[in-house]
Order: sequence, then C-alpha cells, then structure tokens
Amino acid sequence: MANRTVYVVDHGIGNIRSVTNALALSGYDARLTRDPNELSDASILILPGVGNFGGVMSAIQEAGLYESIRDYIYQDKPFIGICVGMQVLFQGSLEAPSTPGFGLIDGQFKHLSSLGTAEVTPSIGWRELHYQSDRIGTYHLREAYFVHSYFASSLDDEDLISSYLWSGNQIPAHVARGRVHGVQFHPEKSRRDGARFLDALIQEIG
Amino acid sequence: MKRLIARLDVKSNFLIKGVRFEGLRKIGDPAIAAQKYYIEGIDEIFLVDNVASLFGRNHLGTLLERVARDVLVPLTVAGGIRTIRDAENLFGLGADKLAVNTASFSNPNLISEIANKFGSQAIVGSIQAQRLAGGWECLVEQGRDRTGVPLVDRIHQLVEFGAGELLVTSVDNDGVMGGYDLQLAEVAAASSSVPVVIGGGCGGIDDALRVMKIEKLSGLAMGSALHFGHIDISELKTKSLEQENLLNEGNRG
Repeated sequence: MANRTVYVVDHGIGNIRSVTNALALSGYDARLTRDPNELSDASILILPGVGNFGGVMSAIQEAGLYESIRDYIYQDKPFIGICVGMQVLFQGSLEAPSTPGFGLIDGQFKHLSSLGTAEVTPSIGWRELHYQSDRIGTYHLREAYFVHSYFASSLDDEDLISSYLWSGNQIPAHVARGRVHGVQFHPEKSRRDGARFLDALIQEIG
Repeated sequence: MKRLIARLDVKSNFLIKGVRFEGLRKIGDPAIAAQKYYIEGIDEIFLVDNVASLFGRNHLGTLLERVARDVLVPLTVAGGIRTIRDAENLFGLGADKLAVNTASFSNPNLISEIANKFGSQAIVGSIQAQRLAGGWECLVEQGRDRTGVPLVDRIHQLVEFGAGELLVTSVDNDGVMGGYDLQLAEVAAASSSVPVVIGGGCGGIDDALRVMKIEKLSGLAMGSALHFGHIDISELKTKSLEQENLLNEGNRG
C-alpha cells in the first residue's frame, strides 16, 4: 500500500534507520517519532529495539514515551515490536529483573543458555520459521535473521504464531495478542522477503 | 547453516583487495558489489575502511548510507572506529554492527562502552591472527603491528569486554586464496563462548565447504573468492546444505 504513513518509535538505541529503509522499499512513508502525541495518533506503530531489555525500557522512559506506548498497545491498536521491541511486550526479562515490561503478553524472557544445550550464545543467523498458528494468513516468512540471547518462556500457546528450532528447543519467533504483534527476528534484515512480511503484516492488522 | 559473509575492503570509495593485507589494488565499486552479493543470497555484508585505522578516520559514510538503503541483510562496519561518537555516527548511517580491533588495544573500554549503549550483538571483536611457532599472535593496524598478545588470551579478553561475536582473520592466508587456516578456525571456535566467524584465505567452494565442517564455527567471511568470481553463492549454499545433511546422517548412523 503505497504512501501510507507508518510511525517508528525513535528511542535512540541501535540501527532504527534499517526499519525505515525496509518500509520505504515497500512504498511506505516511514517516519521516526519521539513525540507522544504523534505516537498516540499513529494508525500503525513499530517499536524496534536492540541491545538489552533494561536499556530499551529506560530509553522509552527517558524519552517520555512509556505511557503513550502502554496506552497504545492496551487499546489494541496495530503495533509491531521487533527484537527487544517484542520482548518489552511481556512481563519481564531475567536480563533486567528489576525492570518490568509492558506486561501485555504473559511470559518471561530467560537466557538461552538455561536450556542447557551445547550452542554458543547469542543465537545469530538465519533460522527456518515454523508456523504454529494460522492467524497470519497473508504471508508466511520461510527464514529470518535472528540475533538474541534471551527467549520467551512460559508463553501461552494462544499467543504463539511461529517459532524456530534451536538444538531441539522451540524458540518463539512471532507472538501476538490481538492486533499487537512482536517478532524476535529482524524482518528489516531478512532480505526482500522480510520487507514483504512487514508489508503484509501491516496490511493485515492496520 | 553457517553464515556466509561478503567482506568488502574499501579505500576512497573503491573496492580493493590485497594479499596478506598488503599490495592493495582497486577492483571495482563496493556499492555495486554489495548489491550483487545481496541479490545472489549472501547472508551478511562486512565493510572495511582499509586505511581508516592508519589515519584515525572513517570515510564509509556515504557508501554505508547507499548500501543500507537497498541491502536488507546485516551490515558490519570496521576501520577507524576509535570513540563512542564514531560508533554512534556509523549506527546512525545504517550499520548494524561494528567490528573493532586496533582501537580496543589503546582504549580497552571502547568495546564495553559500545556494548553497554548498543548491546553486545552490535559489537564484533576483530582479531588479525598471525601464525607463530605453537600458536598465533594478534596484530593491529591491518596486520602491520605486533601486539605480543596470544590468540586465546585475546579471545577471552574480547568476550569479557562484551563482544557479542568474534571475527578471526588469518593474516598469513588473507588474499592468498589457498584455503582458510583450518587450525585457527578450530582453535578460535573451541576457545570462544560467543559465535566465531573465520576469515582469510577462501579461494573457492571447496575451501568454504572444508571450513564449514567445524561444527562450532558460526560463519565464514569471503573476499577475493567472491570478487574474482570463484564462488557462486547459491551453488555454495546448495552444496553446504547437502554436506550438512550428510554429516548429520553420519552422526546418527
């Protein structure tokens, strides 16, 4: 859908430009924002995020965006959280035990090493996605680029859309509650298929 | 499946390549090369500003912005990154990760500063390893200066600083296209608690397949083999998948 405006939360952590680049390739007018009013009025909002859970939550607090994001997602408006932007939708993460997340989705993030596999962490690279739910009818992404050390544990099956296998363990890749979606992978770094996935998801929930 | 990384050495907007980090010659346009490897299916792009660390500056800005606009795979940038300000600039222009070697010897806090602000996943500890009797020594300034620091000590140090992955390049094999230093890849991967990418020496598909047998290795960087047309990325991907399946069957049998 050409020239539709998508707002991307600019909390200043990491390569936020990559998300606007990927959206621009699909014809969106992607705008970075750190204005709470603009954010509240967005018809679709994307929260990117790299680094650590505590860092992203405090950047959101410092930018004065906590309340607007919380209200936005609890009103079930179209939202996509990417990587740590997905993690903060949950109750919390052992990466920053004293920092609560937005708590919209039940579950907590634990370190991948707690699974007791021989793999090194972070888990970096291209993983094949397995779809558990048909809720996303438009576009199933085959493989996506991941880089993360924490994973969503004790997740409700109803919230899970896709996952990948890591030494035999099912790691949540895409979760959703209503129109609020979160992806652990980086669609903006997953080739043209990743950009197509974002486009299809925006059209589906927006 | 191991990550395939295209290494593009850049000097004043030209794609260049040397042998053992020396005798650099111009071979093309880095933006066109990046786009080509991306379309052919490369997993990541690694851009190195080759003279930056000598002069303490990074010229990649315009190129990086151009590449980041159309190349939707992770971009790592190296060369001349000395301060957290340099890091902020490069992330702002579209870098996903930065690789640091030289500056982290004079400023050991640089890696932890970048990791604290941008996360460990955004910082790659880069090692230029030269073979000595009984092991490898780490070099700086694009393989020009010795440090006296042994490989395994440096690996532990970089992980402790907060590097989320390591790129280990063989100075001896770089640009020679006679194969990776397999022992180096093996030792580095076994010594590291974070993912290791090996670089230096790939001359063709067989070299790539050989190093991929090292189970703990996370990825392989390729320069000359791609630039001189010795590797077809989709053919390498097909063959590496076949090899992986065979190895898995072997393990089960």
